[in-house]
Amino acid sequence: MIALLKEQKPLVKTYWSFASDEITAFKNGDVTMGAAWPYQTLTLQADKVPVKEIIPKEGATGWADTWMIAKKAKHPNCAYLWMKWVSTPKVQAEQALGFGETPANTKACPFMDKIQAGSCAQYHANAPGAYFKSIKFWKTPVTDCGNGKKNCIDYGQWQSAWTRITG
Amino acid sequence: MLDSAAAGLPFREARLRLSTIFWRRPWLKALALLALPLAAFVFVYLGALVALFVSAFWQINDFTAKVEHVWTLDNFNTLIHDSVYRRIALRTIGLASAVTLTDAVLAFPLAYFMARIAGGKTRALLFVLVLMPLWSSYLVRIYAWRTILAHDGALNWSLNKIGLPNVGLLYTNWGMWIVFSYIWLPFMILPVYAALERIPQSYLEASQDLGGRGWRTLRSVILPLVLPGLVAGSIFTFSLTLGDFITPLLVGGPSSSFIGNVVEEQVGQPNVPFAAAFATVPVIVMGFYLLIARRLGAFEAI
Repeated sequence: MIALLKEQKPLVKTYWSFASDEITAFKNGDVTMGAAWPYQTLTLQADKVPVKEIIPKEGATGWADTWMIAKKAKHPNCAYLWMKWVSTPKVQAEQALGFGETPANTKACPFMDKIQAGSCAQYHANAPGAYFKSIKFWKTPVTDCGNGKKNCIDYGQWQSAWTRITG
Repeated sequence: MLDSAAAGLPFREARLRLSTIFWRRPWLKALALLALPLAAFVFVYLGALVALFVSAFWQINDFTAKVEHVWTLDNFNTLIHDSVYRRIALRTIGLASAVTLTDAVLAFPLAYFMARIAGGKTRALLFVLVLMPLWSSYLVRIYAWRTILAHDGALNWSLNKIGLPNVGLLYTNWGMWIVFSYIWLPFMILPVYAALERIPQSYLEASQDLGGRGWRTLRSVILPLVLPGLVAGSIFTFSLTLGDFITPLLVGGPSSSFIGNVVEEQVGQPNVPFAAAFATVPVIVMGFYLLIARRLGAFEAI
């Protein structure tokens, strides 16, 4: 894996750090292809930059943001009430469009389309389960492989491997 | 009226006694005056450095990422034996040196013109022009350079207008070199200007009287006298480049990581001990640099 990424390096213009970086790189003609969130593609399309998103046959990686309650939260009930509210379809729709990500609650779709026509489909919020299964979601690397073996690389090793590729 | 004057009396006495003590022991007065800034320096500034250095000898738990207070040299071992960290350190030091040299070469003629040739008004105008970029945010200046160096940017547009092909400077170390040299240039011009201004005109006249032409005067009179100013400026340009991580992030390409970028990534991981270990490298480099600078008389020119 590391060897493959090193081999690809001559093709890489930059490893972007902020979504805005990738957007300007496309706008200025510095790059013609890149790994992106739907947010970048949609922003570029809104600015009339001719780009299109595809999932290559090798698949795509994904990332899911999560809400968590601190173990020692002073008011856990309050936090649960917040979670309940933030998961409602309307709030999910507003948050999805405000932040630029796919909502977790699939019932948010009609609310999204009401705010911005066609946005539900743009963010794949109405995509079938098979679509989400095709995306390899980020999992924090831990030594426990999950199959009884304990020799998988941990996050520290993952990080230094990344440094070895980009450094 | 009378009451308040009587109440003020003990204070007056105390004040007098205090000033007597201070007069008898001047060192006590100095200590009282310096105590606050000294305490701030020792606890906040040196304290942070010591904490950094100490944590470099700790490690983190692989699973919980919590710092474990176990003494180990592992972090430094990794730094020495993993070639990627050597490459990043050398890249950082190399570019800092290149930027320093470039700024010295660019700053000298301008500072010379400002200090010894330009009249009052021109000099004031040049000062404003040199300092004006510093009025804007550092980030704004980097983004401005990105619009210049981009593929469809101002530089390529100008080159195409005069019939030259595109250059791809954004996302390269050459681009970083240009941006760094631009951003830190004022910090080189000012000390060089100060050093040039201090050279008495009679020295230059004496050199000419003795048959020294322009080149000879420059080499044997001006340059030795300006050297402390150049070295003082180089401390700024070198150390500011050495510690930067934003320019590599925004202007750098696939092989542009600086020490600062690795530190930032490791702090975010979070592996503060390893970040601390790597962060001691620029501190040590700067230590040696300042020792050499002192021998060259830089601290008399700041």
